[in-house]
Amino acid sequence: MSQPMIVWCIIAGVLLCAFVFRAIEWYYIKYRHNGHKPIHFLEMGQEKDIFYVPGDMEDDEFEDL
Amino acid sequence: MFLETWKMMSSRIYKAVNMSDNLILKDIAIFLADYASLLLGCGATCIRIEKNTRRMADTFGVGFDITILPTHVYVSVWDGDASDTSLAIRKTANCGISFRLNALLSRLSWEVADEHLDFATAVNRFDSIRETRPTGKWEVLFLASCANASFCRLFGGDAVAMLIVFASTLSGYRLKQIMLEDKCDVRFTFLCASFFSATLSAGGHIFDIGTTPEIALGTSVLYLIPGVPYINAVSDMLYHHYLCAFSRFLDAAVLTACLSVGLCTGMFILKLKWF
Repeated sequence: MSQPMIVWCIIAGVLLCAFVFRAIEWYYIKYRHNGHKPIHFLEMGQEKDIFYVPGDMEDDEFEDL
Repeated sequence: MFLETWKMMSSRIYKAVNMSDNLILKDIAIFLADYASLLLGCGATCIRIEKNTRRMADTFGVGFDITILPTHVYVSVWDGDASDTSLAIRKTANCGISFRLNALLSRLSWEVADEHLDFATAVNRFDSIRETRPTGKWEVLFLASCANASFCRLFGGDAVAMLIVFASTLSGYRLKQIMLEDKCDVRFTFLCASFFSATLSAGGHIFDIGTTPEIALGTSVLYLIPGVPYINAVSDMLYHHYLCAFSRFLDAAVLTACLSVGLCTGMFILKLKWF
């Protein structure tokens, strides 16, 4: 197997894993109502999650600023 | 004494009527601003927004002017002699491009003009249009994949290339849906979707499948091209809405640059020949 083939398989595998994890998460949310949010190993957050200043707006009206 | 009482009463009556008129003007201004904001958000051109809102304002019998900016809409409404004026400002609705919504809103403006709908009925119909649910995501996913596979055929791709494009579009578009549901940045989403679509479609080259793998690779990211903003930018430019035209063009250009970066990254990682 050449290097591009290995790289292609890895990238396709990563995408497949993302879809599988998403399906598992969806199943977990839909059929397990135990009140706990699913644990994300990797998550994209916003800077306001870390740098919250009292008085910041809660809505997402100006999230891009 | 009688005259003074009469003057006072007539003054009160005049004020009440005036307040009522002003209230109606304000309601009309708010309605038209909401309407224009939704129309702008669902991907209508500026000239379409102007025509539709003016058509309704004429039917309601009020003077009307509108200023359309990339992120806001200003609507000014006044009565016959311009003694009362009302202004409403709305932020552009964040509803995504929807031809169905666009058509329903345009139809509403014609219904108001042709059937002379009263203001309350028009508002009710507008509210029901606002609650229109978007097309199902699975249907859109499947149809977008079919459309992109058809593009591949149009550019001369064989059946294998079409199948590759269908699969890569299906994966890339699903990834785009997932990332947008998770509120990821739209530019980053475009970059990732194009990268994965291009990489998957490069399988034809890498595993030597089919006779037209280069067409499969080239057409695999076409579903990400922001065609509507480009077309709207040209339309706005033709009708002298230069700010909106420039904004739409830049938005589309940034997204196109992101998808190009994703495509080039995929080709670079897989060591494909550029030319």
